[in-house]
Amino acid sequence: MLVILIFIAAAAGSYFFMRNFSQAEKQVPLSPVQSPLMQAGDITVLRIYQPRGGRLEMIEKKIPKRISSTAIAEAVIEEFFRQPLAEGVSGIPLNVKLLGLYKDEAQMLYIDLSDEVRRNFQGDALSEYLLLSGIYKSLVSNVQDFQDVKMLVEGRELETLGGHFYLKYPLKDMLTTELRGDTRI
Amino acid sequence: MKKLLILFIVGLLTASPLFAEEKKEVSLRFSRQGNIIRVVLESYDNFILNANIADTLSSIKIEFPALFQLKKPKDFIFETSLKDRLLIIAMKNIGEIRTYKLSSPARIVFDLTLAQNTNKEQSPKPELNPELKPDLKTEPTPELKPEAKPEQPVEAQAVPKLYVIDAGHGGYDYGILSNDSKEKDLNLLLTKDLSAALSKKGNKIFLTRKVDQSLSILERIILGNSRNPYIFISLHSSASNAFVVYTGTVDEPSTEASVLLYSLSARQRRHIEKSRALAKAIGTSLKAEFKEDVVTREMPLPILNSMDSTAVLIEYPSLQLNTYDQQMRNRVANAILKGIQSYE
Repeated sequence: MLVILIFIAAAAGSYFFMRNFSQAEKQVPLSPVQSPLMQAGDITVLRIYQPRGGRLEMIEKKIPKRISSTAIAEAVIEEFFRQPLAEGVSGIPLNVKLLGLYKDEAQMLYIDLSDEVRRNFQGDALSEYLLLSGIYKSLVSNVQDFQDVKMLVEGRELETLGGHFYLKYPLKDMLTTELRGDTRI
Repeated sequence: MKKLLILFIVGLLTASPLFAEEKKEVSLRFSRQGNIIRVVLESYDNFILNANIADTLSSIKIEFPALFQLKKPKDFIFETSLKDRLLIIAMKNIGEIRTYKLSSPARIVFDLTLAQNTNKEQSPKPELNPELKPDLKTEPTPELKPEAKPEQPVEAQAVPKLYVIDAGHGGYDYGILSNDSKEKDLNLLLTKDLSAALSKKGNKIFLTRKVDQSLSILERIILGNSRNPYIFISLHSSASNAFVVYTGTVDEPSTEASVLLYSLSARQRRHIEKSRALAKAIGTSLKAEFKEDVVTREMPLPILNSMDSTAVLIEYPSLQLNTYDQQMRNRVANAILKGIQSYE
């Protein structure tokens, strides 16, 4: 009987210890931007365009200050794909990682994304258009010193992401066409 | 001990065919027609799919995912060299290279145009760099050579009208997935149903794909334009619960050099009014049949912008939200057919 009581007491003790311990681990640390010690001059405000309700909507995201345009462009892509997505935002593939970002001599900005952008994308023509134009518009709204954007997947050129639009060519021409609104029949 | 030895031998015998299957062979063949030399490399699906290709006018380098054995005809006209996983084809006098990865069987196709070729189509836009254009401005591949274009409008012809119907996605591109179905399969079924409905009215039909196979956007464009169709229709699923009928966009071309460099084809420009009228007619017919949301939308979809004929892309309501049995598919096909008839 005594052995059973000691066993139950030990089990209960370890349960409470582990619960408190793991809760302490799960606590999300404050990001530098949320920190009350951070001053306004230490942050960069990014304008991110994400698909919501069949169109692009801009949200502002604050990040620790970045100086170079490449660092800002990297932050734009990371924030664009960051999970969890804001409420109502849809059509952004999960678990996409930025593998690389660089500019060539012709000021073409190359963004190299992990294969999840292709594997986890499921959508129709509009979803694909909004995803690509969201990336493009987010970049041009925050970084100015590039001519065009080219998307690579795992370092390679793909013909298409979702079977509707070309990825083989830079995005600007395709995505700067002024779309006329839908005509409802 | 004896038992162990017997087990070992049996295991070896069982495993040996598996090892034999692992052996990768790449077979090379070539043919020549006019000023185009076609070189084809054929092997296993994953071997071809994961091959990296780099080409210049003087050499093609193909890096395969593993060591391989090259089987080629003795009279192959170019020099080849193998280095580990790399195959190098050295060439001379080549003016243009086009590369395609195809399936069923998996193969890489190089169409090499000899340098003296100057026979090019007129382009509607200034061509700063034809290599970077998304659709073929030069002679299409020998297999896909277009029929001569008639001087008179297509409507004046007495011959049956030709429809090209394109089932979206295919092969490793599944499109939208539902619990038990894939968009690529439903697109194909609907394409066949629409094809049957149009055939009954005495029309000619050409399907860009008849089976589950990968087909790039560029291949679909080449196939579509090579047939010089009366109408081109591409079928896809929508992500929403609405029918969407797309037409291409034909905004005034930009004068900015960097945009011109990569500009999408504007072949659709001279057909856009007809495409819009067709989209409206099909949309009206779908609305009458299904009473669902139906919208027409203009979008710079390469497959529409590059099509040199009346062209629409139809998205049916999401397969995630609807069941497409034979009866439902017939309704969709017949509604599209009625739309086409009212357009005419």
